[in-house]
Amino acid sequence: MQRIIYLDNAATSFPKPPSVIAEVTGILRSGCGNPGRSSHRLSLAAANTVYECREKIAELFGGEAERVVFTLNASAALNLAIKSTLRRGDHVLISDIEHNSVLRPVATLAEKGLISFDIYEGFENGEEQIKELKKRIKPTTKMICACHHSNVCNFTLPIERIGRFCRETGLIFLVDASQSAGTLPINTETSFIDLLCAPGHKGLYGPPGAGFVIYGKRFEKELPDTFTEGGNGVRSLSPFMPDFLPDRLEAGTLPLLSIAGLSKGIDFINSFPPGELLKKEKRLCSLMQNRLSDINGIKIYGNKPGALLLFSAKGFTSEKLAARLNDYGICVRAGLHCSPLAHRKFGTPEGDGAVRVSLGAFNTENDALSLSYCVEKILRAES
Amino acid sequence: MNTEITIVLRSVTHAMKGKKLLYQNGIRSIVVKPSHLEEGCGYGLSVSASYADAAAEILEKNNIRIVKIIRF
Repeated sequence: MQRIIYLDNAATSFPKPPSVIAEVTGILRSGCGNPGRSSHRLSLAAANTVYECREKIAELFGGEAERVVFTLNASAALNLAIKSTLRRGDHVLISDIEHNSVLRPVATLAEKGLISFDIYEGFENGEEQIKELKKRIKPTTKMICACHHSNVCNFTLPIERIGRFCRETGLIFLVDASQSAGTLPINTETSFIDLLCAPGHKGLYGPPGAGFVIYGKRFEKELPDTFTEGGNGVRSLSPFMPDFLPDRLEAGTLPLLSIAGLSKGIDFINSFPPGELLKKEKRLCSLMQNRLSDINGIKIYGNKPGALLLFSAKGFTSEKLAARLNDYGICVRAGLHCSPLAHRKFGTPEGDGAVRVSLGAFNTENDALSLSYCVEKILRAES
Repeated sequence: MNTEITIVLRSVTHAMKGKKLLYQNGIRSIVVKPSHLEEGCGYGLSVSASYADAAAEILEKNNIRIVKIIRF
């Protein structure tokens, strides 16, 4: 069987740590109760698993366990965070590197005439960023959304600085940490983040099927609107959702297996010294950058090393090159990566996008060298 | 006389948090699902009656709202 070289960790990390697999299969084998529904041991064990995961998330990113609201993925988390807190007439600022998971809910609300929004230029430098935000802010501005780290290029917004600005001006600060959670340090308290949204299956190494929002302390008083209503084992006689977190925003059965796996994924991340995974990814990224930049016809977008590498090849559409790499067992993602705003900012070919290589904890130097070698081979064969 | 009381909390999340806090303070408790609550389903902590006041104080100090205490 052909060996797989997995370089699509920004879509979902793979492989998953053995402890994650063992936890998920163990629960399936030993009993999978519904958390928060019953008083029997399987239901209570499930509730305990869910609670432990809330605690680990709160410890890793700051906040209280009961303000960690589980969703099915990061898109659901972002939709919930945006739609539960914005009100009619509000204005929102989103950055020019936002994923469609932010752009689309905001644009949809705007199309319905409920809110308005503008796109601000993202800067990595804090002072430049604040200058730009000050130019864009309106009297009706209620929220600033910042994608912490682009899913397209190694580009990071200065969230600590934006957070301080939001706190000083009373704005809600939403951070999309889809690409940074587990890789870059994030603290909701010191960065004044009111809404932190992340998936469990990328840099936190859980299985697909769980994401979360950490609601800031302000939402204990400014109660968020419900987004999905239904059963959750709390106050069943009331036709309305409870008025406290997390139960107000969690209707229906929680994805226990994904949450249990995420809990072990967080343990996996915590087993490394801070910054070590990113350091390794930067080293592998630099290696690929150096090799690819020696190949005729390759264009690399952004030269900062990190977990991502974005490039295109002369004479190839991004999808064609990704398909050729797949023939060699190399898994990368081509196209626009659901981030047309970011592709426009970084100048990839209009409509086609580029090939994205995304590294993870299990990638090796051999993976990086294989990628460069195969790209060169493909280009040489077809030129 | 029953030696256990039930401290009713707002949800299973608060019950799990409360159980951990009480344990850290040397009080053993069990998460239970009490019946006949005014608002329908809910969860609580079953604690020895001799620790009732101490347990309630710990929970309140840690912002875990007590819905009610059922003494048998």
